[in-house]
Amino acid sequence: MQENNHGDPMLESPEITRNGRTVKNVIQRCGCDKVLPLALVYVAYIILHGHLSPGGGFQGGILMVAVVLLVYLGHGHEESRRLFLPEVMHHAEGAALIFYILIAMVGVLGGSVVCANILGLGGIGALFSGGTIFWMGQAVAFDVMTASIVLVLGMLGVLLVSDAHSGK
Amino acid sequence: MKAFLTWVCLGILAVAFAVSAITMSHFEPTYAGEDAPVSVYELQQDPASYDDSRTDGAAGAIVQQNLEKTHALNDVTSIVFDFRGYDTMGESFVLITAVTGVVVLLGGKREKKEEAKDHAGE
Repeated sequence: MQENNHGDPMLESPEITRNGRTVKNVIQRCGCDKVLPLALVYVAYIILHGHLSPGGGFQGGILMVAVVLLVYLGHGHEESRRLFLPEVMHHAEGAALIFYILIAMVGVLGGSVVCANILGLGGIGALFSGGTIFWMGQAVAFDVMTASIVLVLGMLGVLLVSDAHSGK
Repeated sequence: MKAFLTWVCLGILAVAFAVSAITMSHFEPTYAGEDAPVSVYELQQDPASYDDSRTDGAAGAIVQQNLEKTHALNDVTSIVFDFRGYDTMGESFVLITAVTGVVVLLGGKREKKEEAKDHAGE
């Protein structure tokens, strides 16, 4: 008990190692695994129905922070960095922005102005309707998703470093 | 001199605000909201059949013309990604700038750790 009196004993669960990786509390991990698919489906729904219902690219992309935090809570820092790859995400954000600009340039190539809606409009209320609005929404959602993943993983890394310094 | 110029600029701004406020207070209201109130619930249920022939404000006309032009039910998304798509591109650049700043500020912690280890070893 004398070793643990500097912190909350509830947070300092004994570490279990399985397959060479440290596994956190089992209840915490199972709860996060249960909620994780629901969160992913919710993110996909909000992004795909951005032009039909409230929501859209920005709102759905920022919900990805919840997914990252669930993985971080259930599986720890190493696992979340291994899954989400912040270095790759930083480059993927540039790719998403290039994708957005290409779709915006479709209007120029079609003989109109930037961001002109000249693709197939589709029926009112259908999923693939709205022409370029749908695809620009996907591009912005990917952009915000990758950006929020990089930001949250960077902040969690700072948390880890400060914990290591204060622990020693 | 600098403080004097600052006060002169602020005074000009205050006079401009006062003049424009007094001028605008004499204008007729654009929408009084009396003759045909917009039912938001009916608009949400069936936006295509909304009657926009009456001068009941901008809501009906906006929904009708937006449906004709973009076939998207969500007006906010159609404005953000179609009519103001160039502005959204700027917002994406703001995001990528923020992420670049975070990577620059927090990405060098491994090197600092190694330096600290080297100093501790020495």
